[in-house]
Amino acid sequence: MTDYAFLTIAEAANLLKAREISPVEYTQALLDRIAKHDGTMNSFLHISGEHALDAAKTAEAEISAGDWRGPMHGVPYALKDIIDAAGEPTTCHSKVMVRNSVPDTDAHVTAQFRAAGAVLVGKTATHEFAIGGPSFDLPWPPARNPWNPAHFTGGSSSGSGAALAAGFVPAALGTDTGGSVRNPASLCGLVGMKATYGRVSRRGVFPLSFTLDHIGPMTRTVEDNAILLNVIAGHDAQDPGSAAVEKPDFTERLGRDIKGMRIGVIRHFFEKDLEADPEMAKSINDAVEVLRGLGAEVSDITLAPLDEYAATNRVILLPEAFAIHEKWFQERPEDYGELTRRRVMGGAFIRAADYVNATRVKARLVQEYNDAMRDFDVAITASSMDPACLIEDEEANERTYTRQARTPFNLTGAPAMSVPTGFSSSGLPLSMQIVGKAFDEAKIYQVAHAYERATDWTQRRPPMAA
Amino acid sequence: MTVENDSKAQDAARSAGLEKMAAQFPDDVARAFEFAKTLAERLPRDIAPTDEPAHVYRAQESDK
Repeated sequence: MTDYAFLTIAEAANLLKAREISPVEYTQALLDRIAKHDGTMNSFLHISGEHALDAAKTAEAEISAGDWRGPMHGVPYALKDIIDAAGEPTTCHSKVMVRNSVPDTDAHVTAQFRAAGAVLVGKTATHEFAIGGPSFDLPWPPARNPWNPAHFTGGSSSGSGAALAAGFVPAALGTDTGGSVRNPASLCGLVGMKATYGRVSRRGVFPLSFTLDHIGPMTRTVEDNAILLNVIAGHDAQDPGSAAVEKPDFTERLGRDIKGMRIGVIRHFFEKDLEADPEMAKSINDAVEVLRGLGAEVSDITLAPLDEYAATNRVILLPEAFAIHEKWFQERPEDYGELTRRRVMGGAFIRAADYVNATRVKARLVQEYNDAMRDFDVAITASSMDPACLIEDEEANERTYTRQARTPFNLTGAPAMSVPTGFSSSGLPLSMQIVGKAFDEAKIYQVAHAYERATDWTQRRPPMAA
Repeated sequence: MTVENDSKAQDAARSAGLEKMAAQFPDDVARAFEFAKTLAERLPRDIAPTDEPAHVYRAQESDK
């Protein structure tokens, strides 16, 4: 009997194509699993039950007729609930959006999934408007970490992280403005990619910050992640930030060795600018030694201090976010959660000159990053500085919120991926980031895949899986 | 948060059209105001007059 819960996309695609499993049975099995376990994980805000089964039946008929569209055909997936899907509600996890929230068109990424024959099973929990959380004063509770439900998933793509780690779906999308794909990937033991700015269209996704927003694939394995990016990447003339660049096959370099590849280690981010938790730091250093053992040439790389990136990111993000929410903040502040009010309102008080100066610093940091990476294929650094904290510990959530090294890559627009590097003594996932040059995601996948094959972290399952 | 800063925060909120927010959530206003102030102070100041802002990021293929 097939264990559908933890099939990878690659495995499922082979079975579906060979008609050894049915999209309808696969989808129903995952819907049953969600019904059984999601009362604890809170990963979904909305389940597209009947629509999902209809899509699965269509996929089954097409595959049976010999019309197999590719590796996502008949494969269930989930969307963070700020991404539109025609006929399904988009709530942004907020009371503000509860009414009149059903779009009649797909986001660009959703349309790409639809064209690939994928099966949308539902919309996942997020921090309110992708910024305010984890919060207990919203219409839905926050998602919980399948590795230990007393702990935080990371955010803001929290439900996508929980759903993947719990075996509810093999594929999900998140969004990432200051690290919101990579944070839940880090804390839930997943692979999360923030591709280059412009690589994936943002059309049909509720914005947080126009110049920093990215959409990204979240999966349990590196290969699956590359498969998803193949589906969603590509130029979209209707997104003004979309880049008209060639789209490679992101799976092409998987399986190639990394002998002689030049890997930088941005060590000062997690040893000097911030001090990572000792188990986190050790797991990253151990991963670097694994890569060295596979033949990579490793040396340290120095960028501007992490706080320069973090402050610049925030000074840009908050006014852009406030501009989006200004009218609702003026008219119905009580409909927002407390964390969203506090975080977004900061944007009202940033001076215009500071915003402009932040964009000028950004230009300098982009140039610095490109110059520093010229002699490297990819670089390694921390993602989160700490394993997941207790979700109900407000002080710990506040403290760890900024203890991360993800914002530099939203600012530079460079691709960055979180990859599992082991587990803490308390059984919580550890991680690193592999970052690269603009539009060179394929090399990140190559290195991540080599590391993944040399370890077994992505094959482990949370206790609830049993 | 001092009384003076708290008053400045409320004034700034009202100037931004956030009268309702200031009345209903004065603590949130005060915390957001204080955070924005300290955040802006962390920005680097060594910017040359001719330094251009970042435009929408376009990577050069030659950077690969």
